[in-house]
This record gives sequence, structure tokens and C-alpha cells, in this order.
Amino acid sequence: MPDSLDGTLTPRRRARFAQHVDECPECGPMLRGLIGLRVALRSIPTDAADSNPDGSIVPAVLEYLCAHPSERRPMAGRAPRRRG
Amino acid sequence: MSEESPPTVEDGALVARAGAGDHLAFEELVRVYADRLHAVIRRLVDDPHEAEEVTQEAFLRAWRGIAMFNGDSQFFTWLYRIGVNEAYRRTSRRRVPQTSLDERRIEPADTRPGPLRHLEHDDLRHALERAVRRLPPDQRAPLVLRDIEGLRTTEAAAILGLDEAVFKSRLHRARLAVRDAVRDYLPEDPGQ
Repeated sequence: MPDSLDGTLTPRRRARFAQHVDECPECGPMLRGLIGLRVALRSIPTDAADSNPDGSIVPAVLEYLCAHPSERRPMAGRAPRRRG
Repeated sequence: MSEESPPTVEDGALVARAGAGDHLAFEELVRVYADRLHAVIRRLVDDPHEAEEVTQEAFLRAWRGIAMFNGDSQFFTWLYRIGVNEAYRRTSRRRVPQTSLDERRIEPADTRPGPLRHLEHDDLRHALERAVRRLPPDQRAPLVLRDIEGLRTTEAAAILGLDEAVFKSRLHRARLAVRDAVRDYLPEDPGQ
């Protein structure tokens, strides 16, 4: 089932699986349900602006780097800050 | 993110400069990728403040290790691995609350019968988000990386340090759990 959803079945196995799905009262609905779910999941925006309602995290990351000096001391001169 | 895109010339140059100790180049990488990584981490870590801390720590570890980044994978894939590992490290300290299958079922916000049962897109999206959040961490990460972020199976499994067969098994269980939770929001099976 996962390989079918991912499109990674060989042609022969794909044909056998398709035949099985046509005949099996459990696998057919399951496959169609999972295909619908995948479409729905892919519709969830992955762009940062949509997923980060509090705004950009860039300033907080830069200040965290500054406040936690490593041996390479990436960004000196900024004070630590926490968003929100 | 859709299917894996090839590394950009800009990325390669910035990574090379950062690897040589150029903090301005690394700062540019932070500007390019921090929000994107944070968006992924927010789906893996429930507490927003902790997600922020995980993202910050991931970049600190990336800065400390970027000289050893060998370019076998894309920079963001490498960054994903650091961020996901940090998220795992934190979430594994806590016990995941166990919920029954009935509790995992997301109640639809609209109980109108018939075609109106299939709600607006935003309702489905919110139901999906809630269902994903209720997954245990070992199932949530495969689903987020594969089905929401759109990474290839091989790449997502490598990021999580899992054998592909194990990854697929966890992904399948996650998909079934989410499908069951949002069943009422999805179109009816035309084969029924």
C-alpha cells in the first residue's frame, strides 16, 4: 500500500496490486481514502509566513547565536532576546 | 516544500564561505532558512516556545558543525536533520500522552448532513493539523516530512535515521490514524 501511494511499485507489482484493490472490499476504500488524505495534506501550506503566526524567527536566531558563543564566535555584539 | 529541488549556486557559495568561518555568510543562511525550518519544527514540537528554542539550537549546532558539512546532501536537508534530531531529543524526554482511538477522532465543527458535511477547506486543514499533532512523535515526523513537506521517502528516512522499511511502516500507521481522525471531512468514497 505505501509503495503504491508513493508510485514506487514495479509495473508488474502495480498491475497485481491494482487487480487486488479492485476485488478487495478493504483495500479499495483504504487506498482511495489515503489518496484523498494525501491530496489534503499536500494542500497544507508549508511556507513560513503561513506557519509562523508570530512573525519571523530570524532576529531571535541571530541573537541566540550571538548569546551562545562557540569557539567560532559567529556573531558578536548582539544582546540575547526572546520573541513575544 | 515540493519535491527536492537542486542546490542553488547561491547556497553552495554561502555554505562554502560559512564553512570557512564567514559569519556574515552564515547569517545570510539564517535569513534564508530559519523561518522555513521553524515552520517544520512547529509541526513536530507542540509548545511554540520550545519550537523556537529548538530552531535556535539547530542553527547554533549548524554553525558549530558547518565546517564539517561535506555537501553530500543539500544544506537544508542537513539542517533538517539537525533540527529534527534536536526536536526528538527534547520530545523524547517527556512521556507522550496516550489517547484512545475514539479520542483521536477529531470532532467535526459542522454537523450538517449530506453534502454540507464536507466542510470548507480551512476546516479540513485545521482538522488535519490537529490530527497530525495528536500523532506520537515517531509517526508524526515521517508524515510531516513525507506528506506535508514533500520530501522523498529515501531522504526523509535518512533525515530520521530510519531504515526505509521502518520509515514506511510508521508513515503508513500515521496516515491511517490521520485518515480515521478526519474521515468526516474527506469526500465520500466513490466506490462505496
